[in-house]
Amino acid sequence: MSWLLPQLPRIFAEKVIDEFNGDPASRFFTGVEHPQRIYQASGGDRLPDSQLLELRDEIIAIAREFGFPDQPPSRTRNEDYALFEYRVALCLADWEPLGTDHHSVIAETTRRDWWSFLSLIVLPEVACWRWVSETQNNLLKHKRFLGGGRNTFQRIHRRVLCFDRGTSHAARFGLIHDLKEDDFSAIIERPSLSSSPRIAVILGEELLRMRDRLTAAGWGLGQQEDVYRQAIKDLCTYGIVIAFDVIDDDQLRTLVRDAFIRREIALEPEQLTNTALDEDDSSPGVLGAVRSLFTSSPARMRVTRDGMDYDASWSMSIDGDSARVFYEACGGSRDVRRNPDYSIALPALMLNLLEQGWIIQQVLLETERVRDLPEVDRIIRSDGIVYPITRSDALKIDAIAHLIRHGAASIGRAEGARGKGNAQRRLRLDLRRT
Amino acid sequence: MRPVAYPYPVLPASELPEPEWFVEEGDDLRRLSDGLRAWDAELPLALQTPLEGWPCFSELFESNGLAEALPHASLSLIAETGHSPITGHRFTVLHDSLENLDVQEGITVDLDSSRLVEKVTLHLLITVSACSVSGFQLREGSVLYRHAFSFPLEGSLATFPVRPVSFSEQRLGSALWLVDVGQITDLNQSLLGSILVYLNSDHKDVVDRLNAGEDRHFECLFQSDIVSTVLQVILMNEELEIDFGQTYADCSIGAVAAAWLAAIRADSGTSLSIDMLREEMQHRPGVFRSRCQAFTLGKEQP
Amino acid sequence: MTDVICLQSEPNPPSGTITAEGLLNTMGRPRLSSTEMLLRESLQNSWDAARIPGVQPHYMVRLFSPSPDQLEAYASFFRDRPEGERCPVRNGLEHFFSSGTPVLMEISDFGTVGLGGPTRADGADAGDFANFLRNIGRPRDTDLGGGTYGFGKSSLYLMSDPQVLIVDTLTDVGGSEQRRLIAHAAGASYSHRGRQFTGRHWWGVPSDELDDFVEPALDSTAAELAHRLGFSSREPGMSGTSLMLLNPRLDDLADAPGSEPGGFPSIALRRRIGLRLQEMLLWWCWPKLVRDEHGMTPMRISLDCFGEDFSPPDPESVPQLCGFAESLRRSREKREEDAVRSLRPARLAGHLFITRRRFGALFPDPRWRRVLGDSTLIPERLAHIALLRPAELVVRYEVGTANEAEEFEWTGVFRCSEEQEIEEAFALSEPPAHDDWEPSQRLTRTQKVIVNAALKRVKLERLRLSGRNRPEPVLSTEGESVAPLSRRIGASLIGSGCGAPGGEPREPRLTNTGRRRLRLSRPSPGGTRLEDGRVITSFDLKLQGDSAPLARVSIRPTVQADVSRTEMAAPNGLKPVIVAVMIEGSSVPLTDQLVVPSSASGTPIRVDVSMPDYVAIGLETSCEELAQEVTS
Repeated sequence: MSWLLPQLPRIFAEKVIDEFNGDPASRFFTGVEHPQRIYQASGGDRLPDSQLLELRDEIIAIAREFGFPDQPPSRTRNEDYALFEYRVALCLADWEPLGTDHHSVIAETTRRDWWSFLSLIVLPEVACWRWVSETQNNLLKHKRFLGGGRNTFQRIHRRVLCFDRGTSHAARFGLIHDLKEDDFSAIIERPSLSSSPRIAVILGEELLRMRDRLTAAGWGLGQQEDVYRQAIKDLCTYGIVIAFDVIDDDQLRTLVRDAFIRREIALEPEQLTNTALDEDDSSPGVLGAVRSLFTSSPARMRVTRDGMDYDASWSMSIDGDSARVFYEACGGSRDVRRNPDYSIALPALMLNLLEQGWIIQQVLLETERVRDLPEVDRIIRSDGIVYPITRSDALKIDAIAHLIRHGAASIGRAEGARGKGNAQRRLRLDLRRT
Repeated sequence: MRPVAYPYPVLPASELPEPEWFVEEGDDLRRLSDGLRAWDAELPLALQTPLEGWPCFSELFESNGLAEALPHASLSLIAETGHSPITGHRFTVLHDSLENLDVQEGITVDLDSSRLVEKVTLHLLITVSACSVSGFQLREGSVLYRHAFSFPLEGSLATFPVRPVSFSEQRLGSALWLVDVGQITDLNQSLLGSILVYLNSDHKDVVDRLNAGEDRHFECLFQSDIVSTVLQVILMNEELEIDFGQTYADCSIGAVAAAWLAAIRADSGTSLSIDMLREEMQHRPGVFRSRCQAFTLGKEQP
Repeated sequence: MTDVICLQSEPNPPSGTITAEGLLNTMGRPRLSSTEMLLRESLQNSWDAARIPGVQPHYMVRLFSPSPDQLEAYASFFRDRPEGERCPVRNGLEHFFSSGTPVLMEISDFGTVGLGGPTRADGADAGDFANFLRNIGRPRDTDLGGGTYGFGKSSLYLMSDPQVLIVDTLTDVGGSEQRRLIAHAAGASYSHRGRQFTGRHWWGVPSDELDDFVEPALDSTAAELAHRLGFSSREPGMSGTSLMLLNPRLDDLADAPGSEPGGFPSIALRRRIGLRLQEMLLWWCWPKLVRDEHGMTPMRISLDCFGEDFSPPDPESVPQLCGFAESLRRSREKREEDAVRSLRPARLAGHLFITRRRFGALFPDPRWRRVLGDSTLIPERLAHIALLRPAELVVRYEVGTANEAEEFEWTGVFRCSEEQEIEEAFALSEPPAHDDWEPSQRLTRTQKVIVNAALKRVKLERLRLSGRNRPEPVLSTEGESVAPLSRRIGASLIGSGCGAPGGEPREPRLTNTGRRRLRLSRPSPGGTRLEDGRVITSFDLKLQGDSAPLARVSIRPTVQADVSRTEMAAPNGLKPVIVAVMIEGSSVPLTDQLVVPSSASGTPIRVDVSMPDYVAIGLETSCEELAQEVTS
C-alpha cells in the first residue's frame, strides 16, 4: 500500500509564490505543515512528516556539495547543476515513498500538487537556489515551483521514471548521468516516445551512441542537436503508423538507430556531380557515377564535387577464393574533416565488390599510426555492423559505410590521437568468394 | 488525433461500431462515458468493452482484403494516464494474438488503480507483425486499427468543474466568482485539471441564481467569462501554438479551446486566423470579449 | 542390525540435475517463518494422504531428546557418512552427535495411506514413495488436494540442521502391508576428489539390482530400526508416515544456551516451544479442528513437546477463533446469499460469510500472549477474513482493522467453489509456499476473472468493515448542489466533444438569413491502394450548407507527425501530393484553390493523395463563401 502524499492545490501554491515574490526574506522553510495542505481522499496512510524532513535533509546535503547556499562557480555552473540533478535523481529513486522499486509506476507520485508542495513548502531554498539564473528582478518563475513538467523536482523525477533501465542493470540510472539537459528536453517533451520507459531508454542509449560517432568525427554539439531533434521528430512520425509499444526491444533499437543514422548521413554532402554520369541511369547519384569511374580508371578514383577534387586510391590482390582490398582516402583541397570520398566512394566500392560476388569478412584500419596494434584490435566494429557483410546488406550499404568510417575514427582515438581524425585513412577489406 | 490515412490497407474504422467502455461497479455495468461514480485507488478498476456489432475477426479481415494479415495480427490495450502526457505515463494492459480472442467475449481487463491518476485514455490497437498483404509489405508493429477513449477518474465530463467556496474563509477577496485557469503547458493536458471555477458562497443569492438556471443572460455572462479567460491564457502563450486544424487529446483543454475557437471563427463567417484573434485580444479586448459573449449567447440550448 | 545400512551419495549425472540447493530454493521467498511452513506443508501432505474412507486421520508432532540408547542407534545408522570436508550434511551430522544437546522432531500421521508405490523412480508410474524421496516436483494429482507442487517437501529439509530426514512408513503394497524405512539428506552440492555431487544422500539397504543404490529397509527390519530410532510405534493397520528431523531449526532452540541447570531444554523453553507450535497449528489449521454436522473434526491433531501435551484446543473454545469456526460452518452450507460471483463470465467463485462481535463481548484467551509476547500469531482483536479452498487449509488472511467507529471486531471465511475448474484456478494461483492467491500466467482468462472477482470482493468487505477514512473535503464545499449549474455549463461548453473522438464538429451555425453556413465535413480516409507502383490513398469529404452557391476550398495534405502535430514533409523529405480530385464524381483539374458548388444534400468531394513514406497523412481544409461564379 502506498503512502498518500501531501498536496498543495495550485491556487494556494500561487499565493505562496506571490508571497515569495513580494518578500524574498520569506523564501524559507518554516515546517512541513501548511493550512491548505491536503491529502487525497482515499484509503491509505498519510506520509509521516518525518519522511519529508529526512528527504529535505538529504537533498540539502547534496546541494551543499555544490555550493549551496552559494551558487556554483560560473565556469562550471552548468555541469555542476547537471551533476546536482543526477544526484537528486538517485536520491528520489531511493526515497521509499516514491516507490521507484515498485513493479509499476505509482501514479500518485506524478500528482502535480504534491510536487508544488515539495518545492514550495519542503525545499523552497533549494528550488530558489537552483534557478537563480532564471530569476529576473528577483521574481521567481512559476513553472519551477508549481508542479508540472518544468517543476524543479518533478522534472528530475520524470527522468527517474523515463530512464530507468531496471533493477537488474548495473548502471540503472546511468542515462540520467550521461544525457545532457537538451537531450532530456528533446526526449521527454515527446511523450508519445517518453511515456514508455522502454522506449525512452532505448532512445537515450542510441542518442549517446550517435553522440560518440559524431564527436569522434569532429561534429560539434550544434550539429548533433540538429541530428537528434530531427531523428526524434522522424520517430514520432513513424510512431503513428508503427506502434512502438508492441514491437520488441531489438526491433525498436534498430528502428531508432536507423532514424539517427539517416540524419547523420544527411550531414554529409550528398550529391555527386560528375560528367561521366550515364544519361539513362534512372538513379542518379552514387551508384551510377562511381560505376563509370570504375570502368574508366580501375586503380584510382577521382571524385569531383562542388568544384573540389578528391582522390581515393584502392588496390586489390586476389588469392584464390579470398582477396584483400586496400582503400585509402586522401584529403581534398579544403576542409579535411569532411571526407566526402568516404561517404560516396566507399559505399560504392563495397557495393561493387558485393555485386561481383565477394563477401566482406571484415574491415580493418591500416593506417600507419595503428599498424602496430594486433589485427584483432584493428577490426572496425560498431553496433549495426554485422560481419560478414554480404549482398543482402546492399540496401543498407550507406549506413554501414557510415558506421565503418566512424568506427575507424574511434580506433584512431583510442590510441591517444588528438585532433579531428586522420586525413589519411587506410582501410583493408578482407574478402571471400561466396 | 484527426482521422488519417495509412500507407497500406487498414480496417475501416468508420465502418466498425465504436467500442463502448463499461466499468464494473458491484454487480452492475456502468457506461464509462457517464463517469465513475466513486473511484477508489485501492480497488482494481474492472473495465470491459463488448465490441458490440463487430463481425468475427476472420470475417472482418477477409472482407477488407486483409486475410493474409490475420495470422500475424494482435490486439493490444494500452493505458495512458496522468494530468498531462508530459507528467503522465503509459503501460500495456493487454497484448494478445487475435487468434486467441473471441469477438463475442469482448475485452475485459483489470487496471491496477495505483497506476492511475486524474485521467485515463484507453488505446485499443490492432497491429501486425511483419507480413505482406495485397502487394504491400507491412512492417513489424504496423497499425490496422486504433481507437482511443478517455475518461476522468474523478468527476465527470458531463459537468464543468464549478465549486462553491467561501472566499472570505479562503482569503480570496470578495468577488462573485473566480475563473482559475492554471498553468497550461501542454494543450493535451486534461481539461478538468486545468480549470476550476470558484463561486463565492458568501454571495449566496448569486450562487442560487446561477444554479437555478432561469436567468439565461446572467448564465451566458458567466460562461463567456470562462471562455474568454481560458482563451486569453492560451492565446497569450505562443508556445502552445493552438491551431484550428489540430485535434487534441480527448478531454483535454486543447480540444475544448479549439472547438470554441472554431465556433467563434465560424460565427464570423470569415477566415479569422489565430494570429488575428490574438491581435484582437491584445489590442481590442472589448471586441474579443464581445465575440465570446456572442458565442455563448448564440449556442443552441441543450 | 544397523550394520546393513549403507550410504548412497548422488553424483551429478552426465545430463546434470537440480542440486539440493535448487531443491531447497524452490520455495521462493514466502512471508511465513520456516517453522510455519514446515507445519503447514506437512499437515497438507498428511491431509492429501488421508484417502481412506471412514477413517479420521491423525497428525502428530513430537519433540524429544534421544536417550543414550537411541543416540547410539543413530550413530550406528549413520555410521557411513559422506566424504569430503565440504559436505554440509557430513558436518551437520557430526554436530548432531558431538554437541551434547541433540533434538529430534517427529512429524507423523496415522490413518493415512503412507508412501506406497515403487521405491525407485525409474519405473513407468512413480508412486508416493518415489515422488517424495526421489523426484523433485510433480503435477498435482490429488483431487482438491492441499498441495500442488512436489517442491513443498523442501521445507522439511530446510528445517533440519544437517538437512537429514528419516522416513518410516507403513503402506499397502499389492494388498498387503509393507513397512519401509529410509533416510534422505538434501545438502548443498559439493565436489570431492574431482567429482561433483548433488548434495543428496540416502541411507538404506544396498540394492540387489543396482550398484551404488540403496533401497529402504523393509518390514521387520524397518520396524526394528524404527523402534530403536525412537519412532512412535505403529501397529498393524495404522498405516501412515512418520518423518524424523534431526536437530530441527526452531528459532527458540537457537536462542537457548547449550547447557542449563536442570538439563536441556529448560522448562521455560519447553513451554515456549510448545505454545509456539501450538499457536501455529491453531492459526493456520483451525479449519481441520472445526466439527462438522456429525460432531466430527476432519482431523485429529496432537502435539507433544518434550513429554508435555500441547495439542491445540477446539477453536470454538478459543474466543478469538470461534468466529472463524462459525463462519466456516456457514460457508460450508453454500447459501445463495453468501455467494460471490464474477460478472463476465458469470461464474460462482465461492462463498463468503463474516461474523461480527462487539468490543469486549468475549475475553481473548491470553495464554500465548503471556508467554510469547508480541511475537504471538493470534491477535487479541480480530479483523480477519480467512481465505480457503475446499481442502480447508488457510491460504492467507485478508487483514483489516477493527471498526473503531462502530466498535466491533469481525472474522470471516471465504471458501472457494468446489467446481473443478474454479478450484483449480485458485490452486494454480498459489505460489510454492501456498500462502497467497495471485492470478498468474498459468490461468486461463476466465479463471483469472473469477479469482480476481473473489479477491476484489474480499477486499471490498475488508474496507467496508474496517471503516474507511472519511474523505477530507478539498475545500469546504458548502451547498454542494451546484450540480445543475455544473451540468448545464458542461453540456453547453464541453458538448459532445469529450469521449467521442472523431465526432463531427458541432451543428453548423445559422446565419442571419437563417441559412446554414457553408462548411466542409471532416475528411474521412477512403483506403489505400497500389496504382502503377505508387501508393495512393483517398479521402472523402462533403461541402455542406447553403448560405452561398459556391465555396472556395483549399485542401492541403499533411503528414501526421505526432498525436497533435503535422508536418509538410515526411522523414524522407518527400511530401504527400494531391494526384486527383473528383467533385460530384467527376474529375477536376488540380489547382491550389478549388471552386466547389454547394448543394442541398452536400457536395461530395474525393481527393487522391500520393503516399510519400511509411507515414500517416491527413488533409487540412478550409472554405470560404463565394457570392458568385468566379471566372478565371
